[in-house]
Amino acid sequence: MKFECKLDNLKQKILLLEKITGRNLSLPILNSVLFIVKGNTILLRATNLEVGVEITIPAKIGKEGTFAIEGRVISSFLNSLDGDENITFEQLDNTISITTKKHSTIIKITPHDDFPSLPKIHQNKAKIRPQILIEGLRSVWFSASVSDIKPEIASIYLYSQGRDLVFVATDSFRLAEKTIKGVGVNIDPILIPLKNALEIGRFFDGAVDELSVSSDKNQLALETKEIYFTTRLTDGVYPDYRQIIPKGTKTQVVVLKKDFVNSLKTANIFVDDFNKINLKIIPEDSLLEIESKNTKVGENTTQIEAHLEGDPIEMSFNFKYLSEVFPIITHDSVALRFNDTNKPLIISPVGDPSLLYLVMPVNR
Amino acid sequence: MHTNETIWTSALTQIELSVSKANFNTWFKNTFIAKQDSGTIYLSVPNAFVKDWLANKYHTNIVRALREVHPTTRCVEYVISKTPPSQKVQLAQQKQEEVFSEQMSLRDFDVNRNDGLNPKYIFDTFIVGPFNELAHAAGQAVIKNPGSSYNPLFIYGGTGLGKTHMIQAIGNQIKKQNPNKKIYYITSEQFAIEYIDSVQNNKMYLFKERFRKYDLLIMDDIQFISGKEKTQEELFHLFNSLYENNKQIIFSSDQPPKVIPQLEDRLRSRFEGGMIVDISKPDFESRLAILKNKLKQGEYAPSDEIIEFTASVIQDNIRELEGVLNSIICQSQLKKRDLSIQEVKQLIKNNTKPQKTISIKDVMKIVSDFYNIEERALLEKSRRKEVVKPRQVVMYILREDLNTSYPYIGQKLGGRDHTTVIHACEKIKKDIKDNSVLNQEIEQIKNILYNNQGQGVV
Repeated sequence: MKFECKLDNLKQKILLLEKITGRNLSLPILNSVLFIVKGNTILLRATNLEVGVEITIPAKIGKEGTFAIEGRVISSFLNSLDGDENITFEQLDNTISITTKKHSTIIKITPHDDFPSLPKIHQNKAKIRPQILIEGLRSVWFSASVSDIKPEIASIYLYSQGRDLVFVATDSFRLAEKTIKGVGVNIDPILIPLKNALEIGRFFDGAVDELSVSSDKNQLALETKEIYFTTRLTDGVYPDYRQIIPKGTKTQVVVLKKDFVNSLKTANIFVDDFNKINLKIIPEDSLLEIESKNTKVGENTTQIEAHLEGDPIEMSFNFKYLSEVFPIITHDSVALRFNDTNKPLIISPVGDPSLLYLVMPVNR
Repeated sequence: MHTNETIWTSALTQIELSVSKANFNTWFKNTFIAKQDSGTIYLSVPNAFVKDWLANKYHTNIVRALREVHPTTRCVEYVISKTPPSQKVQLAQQKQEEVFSEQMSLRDFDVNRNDGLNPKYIFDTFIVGPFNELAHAAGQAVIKNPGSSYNPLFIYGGTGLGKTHMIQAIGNQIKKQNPNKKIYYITSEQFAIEYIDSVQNNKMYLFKERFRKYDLLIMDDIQFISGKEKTQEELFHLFNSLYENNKQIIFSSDQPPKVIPQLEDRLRSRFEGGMIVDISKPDFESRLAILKNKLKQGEYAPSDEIIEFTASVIQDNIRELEGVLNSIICQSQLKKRDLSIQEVKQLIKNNTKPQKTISIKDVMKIVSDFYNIEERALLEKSRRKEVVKPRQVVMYILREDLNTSYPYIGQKLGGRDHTTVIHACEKIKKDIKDNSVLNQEIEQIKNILYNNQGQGVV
């Protein structure tokens, strides 16, 4: 086995792959990255049995062959190298000799017989731009549950509705729904485990080629010319979340995002152990009052000007759930829609109906 | 005959020899034979990675091992299915518990830790009859308008009549209709324990905070709160707080609030402030419906005759009714055949103490009929031999089967002293052993007593 390729390209790919190696204690081979040198490409493969990835990079092949190197070792090694030079790999018995202009290195290889293959899906493939998928996932994934007790809500729910693609995540205290209009692909409803969705974001961030998406009941595969990515799907039924979205609006507040976020930050200094923030809406005075109070620290009331419609209302929310949506809102003003003291608050950017965020109130 | 499980266990033992431990643990964990179909074995695997790798790498090993154990194996297919983490343990247990598979299904239901509700209690499995229709209607009203129509809802009735089922079903239904509602089910005993805990650990504020946040609080067996003064006080405050915020509260008890001893008046009056409904004993048709409904959940069905008989004998406790049904199913599975009506009678006789099914009057009437004397004669002072014996038999049955107290028996049978009754019972007990005729007579009387019930003869 012998090949030569560009250092920076290999380094970049190995660093991506290394993150998913090294988590499996029961099968040590999974800590390695598999190199399959064939034709005029190298196929790099890594998996943790939750997700599996294959990346193809071009190379000048001297002799074909297959070997596996521990991911931690190869990534730290490549990461320590600089410059855009060529790097040569050559197998000598149980070792790989790696040479650049400056370095000459020998790394032990691990037996690769037990390195698993990745499941392939033989289903119809839909084409989608990677930005769409990543935007959708990023808009909601902060809302998914981080605990694995309920695997359904520790996942991101993805389905097509007409020509639109809908992403949903909830941890039962808040819910984010992102609709991306006019995608025009048909994807069966799937539940992507949150951790694996984060990997999708990592691998396809900045990708330009169209993604081929295929899925069956248990597995999702995403494919570009360079990368084949597959992940396990959560087997389960997503809660019927639509029924908790309140239909009407009793009180509506339109406020500048900047003002609201700043006053939330101020209020956060004085929240109690339950992170409680009280919102008071006084339509007569066109004022939105944000209060927090901690008997040990002190208290704060901030009044911000806002455009208010409807009945006066007073409700409490958890700071964390209330504030986490704002980083993904790019519009200047947001609408807060209140219904009843026991119904969730709806937050959405003004002029962007694609994002819907629900927060459950804190009961007193 | 090999079961799927034994086949796979022995195949695994062989595979284990030819595969490294790490590989074996990774790839063969949580696998089992899902089904067999004319020579094809369907192997269930937890995910696509395993499926792919088993099919590519270990297929030959698997097929070879399976053929050795089970020579008719032609090919092996892999299917992905969800497996609970405790699958392995369950597989090990399944062998012993195969016989009881009818009850196994109940184990799938776990009490939800967030709200304490058991999802097996739903209205779909709740039989409504004349005995509980008022409670059911009140429950439905509460579901429609929680917190406003009947608050608090107080349901009482004897043991095993479905109070817990009823109130948990209300909770489950409300949860289903509105998953955001904070619902909590707790027994009054648990409430008292948690209260004491919070006092011990200085966590009173957490305790208060925790219970005040619920939209629906269900408290079971509230009668156990009797005599616990501080717990009652806490409940009183909790009640007020929930009530003022229009949160629904549901209580169950085996007695109406008026009769619960050592209950603070302010609590009692609050319990009475909403809607008090009772669940009485089910009538024959309802009992039959309950049994038939219960059978729908399992695979085995005893004959109608047996079901009707069971429904007619077990009269005032639904739990007991289901218990008897379970033992009928269990017995017939053990014996691998249907039970005859005689066997069922025997089974019921063994399993249940038919205490409350008969009144003192019934006993007196049947015994006097049996011995062909006037019922009145039992109460008289007469010591004629033909009256004394039936009188003693009545006392004996009242004592043994109905567990009536000696003084009460004496009082009912013409104001006799309780020592007379004790003597009578001892005497009959002793005589039964030596006197087979008497023994038969008593058996016959009991037969008449219990078998004629429910058909309205008595």
